[in-house]
Amino acid sequence: MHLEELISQCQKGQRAAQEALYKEYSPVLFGLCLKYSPNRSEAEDNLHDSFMTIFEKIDQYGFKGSFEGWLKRITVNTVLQKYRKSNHLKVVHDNIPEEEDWSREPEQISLSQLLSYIQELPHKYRLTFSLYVLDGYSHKEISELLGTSTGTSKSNLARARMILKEKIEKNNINIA
Amino acid sequence: MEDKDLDKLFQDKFEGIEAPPDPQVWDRIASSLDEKKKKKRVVPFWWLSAGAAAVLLLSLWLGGVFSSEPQGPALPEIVNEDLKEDPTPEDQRSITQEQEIQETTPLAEEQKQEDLPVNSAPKTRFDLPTSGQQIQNKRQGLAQQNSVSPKKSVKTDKERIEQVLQEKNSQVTRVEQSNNEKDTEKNAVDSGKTSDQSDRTSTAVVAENTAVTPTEENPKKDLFEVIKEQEAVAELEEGSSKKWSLNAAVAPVYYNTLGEGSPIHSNFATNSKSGEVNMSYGVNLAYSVTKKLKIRSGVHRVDLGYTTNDIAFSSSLSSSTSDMIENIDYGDNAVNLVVTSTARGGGNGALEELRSDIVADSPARNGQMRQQMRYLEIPVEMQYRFIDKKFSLDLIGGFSSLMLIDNQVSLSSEGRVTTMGEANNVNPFNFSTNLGVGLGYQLGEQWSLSVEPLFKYQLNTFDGEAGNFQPYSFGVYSGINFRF
Repeated sequence: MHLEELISQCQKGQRAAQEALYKEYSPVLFGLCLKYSPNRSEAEDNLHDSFMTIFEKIDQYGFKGSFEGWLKRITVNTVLQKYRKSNHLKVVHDNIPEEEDWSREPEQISLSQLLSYIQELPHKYRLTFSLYVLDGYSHKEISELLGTSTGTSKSNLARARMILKEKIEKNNINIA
Repeated sequence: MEDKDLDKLFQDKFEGIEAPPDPQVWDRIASSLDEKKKKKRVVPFWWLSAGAAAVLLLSLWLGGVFSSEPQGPALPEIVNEDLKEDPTPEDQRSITQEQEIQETTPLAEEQKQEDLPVNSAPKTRFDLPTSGQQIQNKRQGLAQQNSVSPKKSVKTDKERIEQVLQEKNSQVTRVEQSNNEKDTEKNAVDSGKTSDQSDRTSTAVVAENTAVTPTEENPKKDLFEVIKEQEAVAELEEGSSKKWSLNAAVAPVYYNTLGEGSPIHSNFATNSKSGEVNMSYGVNLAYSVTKKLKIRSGVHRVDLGYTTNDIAFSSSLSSSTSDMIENIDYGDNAVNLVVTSTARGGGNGALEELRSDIVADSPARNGQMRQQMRYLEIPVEMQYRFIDKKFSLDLIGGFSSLMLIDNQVSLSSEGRVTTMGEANNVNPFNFSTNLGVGLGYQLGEQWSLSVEPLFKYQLNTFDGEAGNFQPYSFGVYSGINFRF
């Protein structure tokens, strides 16, 4: 089905179209949710919430700009809304889940391993790192999205990087 | 490890990351969407009625503000406009009558009108029977008078005018007012233009004086009279309008559902339902907030009921809770009853099986299941009157609080009725939104008859799932009203 037709049917609230839209975009958006959520089950909750917002606001989509970009913005906003307010810094887990054989080269480290490192980060570090490094947001944009200063955003990023580096190095040592 | 190495590591790995979520996520989204739809379906009725009420109130308030304030002073203006717009023969006659008065003094002005080509339009209004020469003579006479004792002559003229005016006040004043206003304007202009001619100046001044005075006095008088009249009318109205009214009404009320569904069990969702007509009795007390708006409340007793068709029931030897319908508290004599749907597509597998068992084991009776509820209804409604004559027409909107007094589910087959028990999922307290029209017929000063077809959409009648069962009632409330 043509995308525009699909969207306009979703705007009419047709369930089949909504399901088709979900099937088309849920893998990308779930990938996004995984990066910003502390674990898989919360990522699924966030995907649910994001799609509810998407179907609610799809009336407002004016066919301007990329539809996928629009979906991603809603998803990121939904997730940020959930975590930006919690100032609670999650205890960083030091135990690394056992995984398949690791090569010594850091490049060989698996995606799921890296994902778990990100997910283990405290909320604000995780959000800042994902926004800045993985999705190319600037510190200014991040500070607006999270309601902090650019200075805080920079220091959050630095700490996130520090933790991640530690984890990767530890992982390498363990394997060695 | 450098920052940029770390970033690059993550960026490479996460490039275009896609992950299929658990299939359950879609199921959850779908059910959330269903829930939302349901909520949406109920809400607009609230908003609609609330919105309608708000608009009604606002328009009444605005209407009140605009109609009450400017009424007094506005009235004479309206009269003038009417006269200006369409001068009927009667008006013309009164103008000529008025001209008799004008002949005495503002003749100078007439003369000037002839002299000055500027004044063209209103000339037709002053078609004087006297010739130009006569006017001239009179004017000269007047001027002579003026030269001797201008003040006196002005005064006497004024007095004469007033006298004549008073005599003819009732028919002339209003016309005169409009004309005099024009005269005054003209005089002001004319006197300015002709000030170089001494002879005319004096007459102009006289004309101005005489013309101006009546305009000042007469509208005042006119206005006072109008106000007095209005006050008298208002007093009269106030005396006759009574703020309170009591209404006793009786109504056949039809109850049914807008959608499919069953509050008893989902097995009966697709069964056809027949609405029932029951009676409602009650009294209302209404208060007139304004002449057009009434707020009313009261107490009604209303029986509501409907029938679920295509039911089969039988009694099983041993009562087992698995055969019982959860939403019904069975009566003592009914615990052995097994009720199933015989409607196509109705019932799930288990019950279908059960039914075949019933058919095999014991003779099942085909019949209907009837659910009845008795409520005490307390409506709070607004009534806006569109037509207020011998026959009246109102728009009625509001809501009712309904308190459950009694409810019963019974089974009937071939004329025999068995009480099954009480439904336990009927809310003890629920609401309805009401909309309708009221037709009235005035019998006398205090008594009137009314017929009000009212549609009431019920909200939260049942606790929990009732499928798409959206109950409503429609009643034609006929009653007698007493104003006091």
